[in-house]
Formats: sequence, C-alpha cells, structure tokens
Amino acid sequence: MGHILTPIGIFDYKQGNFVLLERFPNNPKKAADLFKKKQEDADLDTELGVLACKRMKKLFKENGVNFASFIHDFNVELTKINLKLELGKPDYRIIQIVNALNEIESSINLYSERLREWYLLYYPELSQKIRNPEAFAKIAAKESKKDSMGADLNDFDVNQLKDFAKFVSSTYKTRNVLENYLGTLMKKNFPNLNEVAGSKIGAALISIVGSAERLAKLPSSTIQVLGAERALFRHLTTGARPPKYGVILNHPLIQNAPRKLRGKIARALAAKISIAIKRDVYGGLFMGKDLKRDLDKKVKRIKKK
Amino acid sequence: MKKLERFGKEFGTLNLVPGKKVYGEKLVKRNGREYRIWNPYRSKLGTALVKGLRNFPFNENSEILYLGAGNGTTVSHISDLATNGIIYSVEFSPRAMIDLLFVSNQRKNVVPILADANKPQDYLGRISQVDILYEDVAQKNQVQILRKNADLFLKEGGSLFLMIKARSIDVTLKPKVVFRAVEAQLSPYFKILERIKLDPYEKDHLCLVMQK
Ligand SMILES: C[S@@+](CC[C@H](N)C(=O)[O-])C[C@H]1O[C@@H](n2cnc3c(N)ncnc32)[C@H](O)[C@@H]1O
Repeated sequence: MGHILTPIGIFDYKQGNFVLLERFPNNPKKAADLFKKKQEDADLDTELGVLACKRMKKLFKENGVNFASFIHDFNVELTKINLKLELGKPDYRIIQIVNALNEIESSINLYSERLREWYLLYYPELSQKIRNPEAFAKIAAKESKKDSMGADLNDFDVNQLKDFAKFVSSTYKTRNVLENYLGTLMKKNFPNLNEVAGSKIGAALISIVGSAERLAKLPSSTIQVLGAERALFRHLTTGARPPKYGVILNHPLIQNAPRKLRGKIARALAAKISIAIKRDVYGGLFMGKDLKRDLDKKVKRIKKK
Repeated sequence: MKKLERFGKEFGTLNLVPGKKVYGEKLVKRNGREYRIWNPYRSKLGTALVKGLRNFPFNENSEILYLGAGNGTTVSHISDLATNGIIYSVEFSPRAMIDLLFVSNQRKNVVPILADANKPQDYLGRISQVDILYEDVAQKNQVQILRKNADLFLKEGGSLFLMIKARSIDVTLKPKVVFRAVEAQLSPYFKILERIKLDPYEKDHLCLVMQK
C-alpha cells in the first residue's frame, strides 16, 4: 500500500491507523516545499487520500497543529510555489506578446495616418514621395524641409510635429523588436511548431487556446479552424457552411495556393501542426525540418492533381 | 447579528474585512455594521438569492469546496458568511489565482488552490472533507468534474451547487434541452432539491441545488 501525504507529514496506514513516518516542519513554507517534492515521486493511494481528508482535522490535532491557520497558510504557500512555476512557462509570455503585437498593429495604423495628415500641412512633397509608413515616420522625424508648398511653420510648431513622428517611428521599432523576441521564444521553446507554422501563426494558435499543452491536446480538425470561432458558431447554430481555416490562412503555403485548393492544403498543414506541437509539448527529438519537407511535398501533390 | 441581510431587491453580507472591497461592490452601513452588497450581475449565487433561492446551507461553520473560484467574487461573500469555516478555492487560471491570493491574504478562511478540478488527486491529502460542494467552471465536462469531487470530498448528506451555462455544454441545443440532459446525468447520484433560472442577470444559466 502507498503512503499518505498531508501538510503535516507522511503517514503509513496500518490496521486502521495512521502512523506518522515523517513529520514536516511547522513552518508552512518549508512544509509546502517538502510536500511539493514528495508529491512528485510518492506512490499515492487515492483511497487512503480520501481517508486522510476525512481525518485531516484529527491528524492535525493529534500532532498539535492548529487546523484553521495551518491549512490556510500551507495551501497559500503551496499555491505560491505552483503559481511561480506556472507563470514561468513561456506560453504566458508568448500570449502577452501576441496580444501586444495585435494592439500595436491596430494603433500604429491610426498613428501613421495621423502623422501623414499632420505632416501634409508642413511638407506635403515628402509625404507624397515616401509611401511606406514606417520609412515615412523615420524620415519625417529628421528631415528638414526643402522648397515646399507647405506652411512656413516656426521651430516650435515643427518640433512638436517631429516629436510625434519620433513617437510613431519608435512604435514601429518596438513592434519589430517584439516580433524578433516572439521568434526567439518560439524557436527556443516550440521549435517544431515554429518550423511548420512559422512563429507568428504558431504563437497565435497558442494564444487562442491559452497554452501549448491545450493546443497539443486538440484534434487537427479543430486546429484547422482556430481563429474562425465566429464562423464555426454560425455553422453549428444555423447550418451555414463550416469554415475551412482560421489563423492558418495566413500561412504562405495557403496564401500562395489557388483558392479552390486552400481547404485541402489547410487540412494537411493542420495535421502537421498537430504532430509538431505534440512533439514540442511531450518531448522528443527535433523533427521540424522533416515535417516541413513532408508538408511541402504533400502540397505539391495536391497542386498537381 | 445577521451575516446575510436584505437590501431592497439585493442582499448584502457582513464585511469580514471592514472598509475593504473585493470587486468594486457597494459598501453599506446597517446598525453600525458594514455590509457588502452582493451584486447579482457579478455573482451567480447572488443571482440565485435574488431569484428566491430557498436552500441556503452556508453558515458560520460551513466548510466548502469551491471549483472555479475565479477572482474570488462569490468566494468573498461566502467568506463573509463562513467566518469559522473554510472555503477551499480551486482555480486553474494563474491570472485569476493572483487575485485570489490577495483575497486570501485578508480572509483567512479562503484557502487558495491552484489546480485543475479535473485532477482532484492534486489536492487530495491537503484539504478536509466538506459540507458543501460548489461548482462554477463553465466547462463541457462539468458533470464529470462534479461527480469526481463529490465522491472524494463531500460528506454524505452534503449539499451541491452547480452553475450550468448552457452554451458551454452545447451551443446547438436549446438551453432547456441542455438543462434537462444535465439533470438526467446527475439525478442517479444526487437528490435534486431546487433549480433556479438565472436570467435575466445571466442569460441561459441554471443554478442546480442538490444533495448527496
Ligand atoms: C464563470 S468563472 C467563475 C466565477 C466565480 N465562480 C464567481 O462567481 O466569482 C469560471 C472559472 O472557472 C475556472 N475553471 C474552468 N475550468 C476549470 C478547471 N477544470 N479547474 C479549475 N478551474 C477551472 C476558470 O478559469 C474561471 O475562472
């Protein structure tokens, strides 16, 4: 029979009695640390565990421990230990960056348009010449005006405008830095997924379901439509056509395929993503390159048919 | 002095930590004591009370296992009532747990447990048996979760509260059909005491009260 792990120590069960084998310290943090360690390698018996729950108060009393305060403090400490481990998972950082990038993306477009409009008052020729919004913000922050139909604003007015351009330009820089960081995190922690799906799509999938572990548990048919929840809901409730793809639509293999083949390619891609994330989560050698090669071959075959 | 009081249509609980709010609720004085108004839009147990819940076993000594504790909104009101009891508050979202830990700092009867209610082995051995099992997880397999936990932790004769969100079980079925199916799954194991519809506060939600 197994042993019984409790906040006050480890017990054996003999002839209807709990026999103390190891007493944990009365310090709740130390006890929680020990409990955590033992929990990982102990052979725990559910039936005895239930019995321990029933007798928990008695066990505490017999060992001179105040139940109400110790059960609280112990579980707070154990929860803090578990929380610290949980919060350290790369998934949570990835999800924050995905959200930050989405938010930056939508605000950066607004800022860029505003900058262009504002700049037109001063130096419309530059605005006309440089169409790329990121490059425009960068140059607008520095460039001095040449011959122009724009207003002759004084230094004070011009500096305000350039300050705003600097802000927009630095927002682009931050976005690029975050994108790189996301790529690094994905490559390091989910190399297989990263190889098959790319860092942005891989991260978006993790973000939609909340964790890599949850993603690894999903069937590939669900992975295929993640991000198309609204269309899926419409399909289930009104019988509308089911969605063919969610965020994986942005994958180059699908983007570069003719429309009528996209559904098939999406299915193949989702199947490989499913294998890749299982590898990443449950361990195993890196096989991303092989998965990607298989996938490319498969897509070629689909396109030939 | 009563810990649960009526304030018009709503209820309030005697604040265990006077002067402190937990989730932005209103604080109201009565007979020189401070009560926290139990917002029926924020807490489903608060809704059930407003809608006439008759079975209300929460008292000073209640020991409760609460699955899906969230940020501690409902837990905090129960904590005002079970002043000599315990609320084992199981929650698997680390984000929610951060808030819950702050709640448990001030409320010593709130015992936070970061765990998946699907895996009760994780908290087996570090909680005691309970009088009341409360579940509000909004998950497809909530019946299974309830049964597992009831088997392990709920005393014979103990009460169960299950908050059912029809849409998280099956979006394609009418709520009525979902509720009936859930009851059919539960009635072989528990005696159903009361059912309270939570709308209009919570659309397509049912509060089911049972006994082991
Ligand atoms: C509707 S909210 C709870 C609100 C809370 N009961 C209240 O009234 O204040 C549902 C909560 O259950 C949690 N949850 C869902 N499934 C869970 C599981 N298997 N184990 C633990 N918590 C879970 C979610 O993270 C979420 O915080």
